[in-house]
Amino acid sequence: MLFNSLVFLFLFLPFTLLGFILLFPKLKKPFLLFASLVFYAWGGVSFVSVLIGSILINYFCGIMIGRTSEKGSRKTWYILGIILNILGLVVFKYLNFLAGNLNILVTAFLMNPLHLETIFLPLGISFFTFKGISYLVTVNRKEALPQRNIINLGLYIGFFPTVIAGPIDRYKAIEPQLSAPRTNLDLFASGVRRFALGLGKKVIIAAPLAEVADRIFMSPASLLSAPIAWLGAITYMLQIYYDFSGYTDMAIGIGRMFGFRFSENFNFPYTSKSIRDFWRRWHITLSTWLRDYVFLPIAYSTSRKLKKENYSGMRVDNLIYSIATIITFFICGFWHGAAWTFIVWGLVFGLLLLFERTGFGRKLEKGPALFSHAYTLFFILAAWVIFRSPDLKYALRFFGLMFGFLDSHAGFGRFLAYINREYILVFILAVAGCTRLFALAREKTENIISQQERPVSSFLFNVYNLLSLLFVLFVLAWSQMSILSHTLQSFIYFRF
Amino acid sequence: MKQVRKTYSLLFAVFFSAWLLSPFILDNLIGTPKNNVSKRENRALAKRPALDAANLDPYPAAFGKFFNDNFPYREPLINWWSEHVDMGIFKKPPPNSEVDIGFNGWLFYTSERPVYEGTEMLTPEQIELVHQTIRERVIFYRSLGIKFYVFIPPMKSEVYPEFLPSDYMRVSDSTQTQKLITVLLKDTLIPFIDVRPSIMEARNKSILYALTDNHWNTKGAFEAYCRVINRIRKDFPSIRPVIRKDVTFNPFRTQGGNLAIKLGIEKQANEIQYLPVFSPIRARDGKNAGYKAPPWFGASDDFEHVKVVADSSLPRVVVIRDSFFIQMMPYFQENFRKTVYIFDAWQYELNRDIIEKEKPDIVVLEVYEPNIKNIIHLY
Repeated sequence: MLFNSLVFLFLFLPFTLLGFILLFPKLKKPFLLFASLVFYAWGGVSFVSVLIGSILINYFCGIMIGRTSEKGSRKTWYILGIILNILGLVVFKYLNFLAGNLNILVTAFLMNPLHLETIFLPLGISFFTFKGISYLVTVNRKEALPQRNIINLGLYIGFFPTVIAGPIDRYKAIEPQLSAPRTNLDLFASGVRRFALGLGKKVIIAAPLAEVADRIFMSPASLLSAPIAWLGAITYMLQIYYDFSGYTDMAIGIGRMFGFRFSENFNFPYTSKSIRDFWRRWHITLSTWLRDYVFLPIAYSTSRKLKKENYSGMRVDNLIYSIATIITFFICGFWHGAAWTFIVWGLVFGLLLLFERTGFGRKLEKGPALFSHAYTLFFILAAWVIFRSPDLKYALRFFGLMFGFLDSHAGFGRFLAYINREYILVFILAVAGCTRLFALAREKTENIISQQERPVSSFLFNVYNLLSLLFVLFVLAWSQMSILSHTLQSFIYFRF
Repeated sequence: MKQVRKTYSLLFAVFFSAWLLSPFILDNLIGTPKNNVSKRENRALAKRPALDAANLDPYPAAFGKFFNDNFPYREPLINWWSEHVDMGIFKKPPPNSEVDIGFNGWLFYTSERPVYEGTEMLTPEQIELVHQTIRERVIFYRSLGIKFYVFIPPMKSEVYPEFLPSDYMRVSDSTQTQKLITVLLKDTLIPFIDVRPSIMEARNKSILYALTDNHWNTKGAFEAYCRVINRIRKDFPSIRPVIRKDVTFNPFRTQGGNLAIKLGIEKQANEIQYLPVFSPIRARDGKNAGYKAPPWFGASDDFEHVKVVADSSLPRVVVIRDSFFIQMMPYFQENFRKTVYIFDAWQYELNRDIIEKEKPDIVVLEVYEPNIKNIIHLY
């Protein structure tokens, strides 16, 4: 079930909220877990068993890790738990990809290819698997006690606002909130505001951008030109940010309505001055997860093995950083999808980070801001082209078009046809929203109000709140109408 | 300040809850009009699916579709939004409407675009397969003593490219239709009737296609009719066709066509159509034989239509057709003792059983340009 579907907005959410508010405290959490399973089942009833399996495996392994004080046995349960989590991900997400690539090799050696039935991907498996691993690592490191209440662990792994697309909160951050989730009026209202903001980002901004980006990326190269390719790349860059950050805003907002406080995932990533800076601002819960559970362990274990000061003229700390970075970003890319485009996307970022580790990184910090922003945005844009392309060949062709290496028959009329009034409006809003413009305006307004004398400040405060209420209602109504109009399915020829 | 904040928090909570519950309240407490069919979408609305414990996987999607289709006041709200926001403010077609807005109020059907642009192109092998399929039919019908004719009504975009949106663009020198027609015209065994020259010649004198519909109008159909009937008449001289000077086209203003309906603007996008008037009209309804339409075909009532003329000197014809033939019917059926129209759900089959039962003198196959792939079952 998607947050921006009518079923979610006008059936699931109101009745889950109603149930949560009206039920006795003891029943609130079991009810939320039940609702989460229903929510998850909406994307494939059979896949609920995968989610339940993940909860049970992590619950059991967590208990066993906590129960044994003997180091070896503890480690066995820990490793078993991690392997089972990764195995689930490999089977459901990567097996088809691995078999496909293996078959290329097998057929090259004139052997019979493997036959594998298509395995369908359970929604959100990458997210809840990482949460499961986070739980086991936390318990193994004795940073938290094993969770004895399976409903609590079920909510951590499978709570509906975060099960499909995160944020990937650490177990340590959520554990204190699991004992008795309770909301209050102010928290609920802030959740409403955040949810409306996210819904607006997704429906009003990301959806029209997606229409244009999809049309461009799905067109044959012969129907594209350099300006159209640039338009497609820039539009997709904006779309993916508004789509994902909008979804995160909705998750955070819903969480607040139910008394949970989830972590922030984005911090104006397109204002970054380097790729390093970008990964501190983009999908923050994933990048910190990868830093803590992949990068640092690899760096520590490599540093224990490398004893010399220099290897082939490379300083050992640089070598360790390079190895850990490349492996981490390989995993980061592969985590996003089982395709070479995602792997290359991850590796491109890894290589850029290594490049920034040289003197270039310092130049970026000290050099003109315009250059730093231009450099960062250019490579982020290029990386998104790889990410969006169906395969690497397409990505190369797309770059060829962008940089004028391919001939094109598409005239300027075709370019203009992508840009209607809605696109122009949404594009301006989207670009402005990527900067701190709206956030600064809001802070400034709040400062001005708070600095006024009593009757004036009170009046302005009322006006400010009333306007924000009207804005939220406008965004909700506009989003609803837009979602409704997308349910149109007209046919020239009757379909009765 | 704290009190004001609390008040507004309460207001946010109240308004948000009211918004979430509004469809439920409208539906269950106030009541909303229930429809089974959406006129605009030309389809039946989804019904509440039955919950089958043994097969739960399809249920969520089916329920979601039902919930969407039966959302309170869905159609009026969408129509209002299409008219005032999509078309009004943003000047763009509503989502999923499959309509491209051209110049001077001309609308085009988006799904026909790839055929025009040449991005949907039959391979040379497929074109040869279509050719051979038609050839086999000629031979089969000939073995039964039946004359067989084929013609292809062109798409509106082929006839009036000057009104296409600016982003329409051909990627190939030739379309699949042009390639097929070249092959068919070369094969002397196949009596292919190329109606395009007549249409292209007449398009400068009169508007031959509806602005807001993907079909030709009665004038366009008449031009094609003249071409088709004159060719048939060479083999059947007893035919006395309806000729140009016999027909008067009386203009009348009517609601927009199928593309305007898809945009939800059929009332605003009214346009001039032409009612063909001629006399005498001799064709009368005949008795249907009751041929069965495919069970999945929504328009099964249109599968078979029969017209008869009380003149034994005229030949009998079976027409395997699609919706483009409708505008030709008034003229066409005047020329045959018995006309059996078969609308076989865009499959353009041989219809062997029907032909063997009807034993016509003539079979006419009419295939709308984007559907030529259907002849070899590439739906």
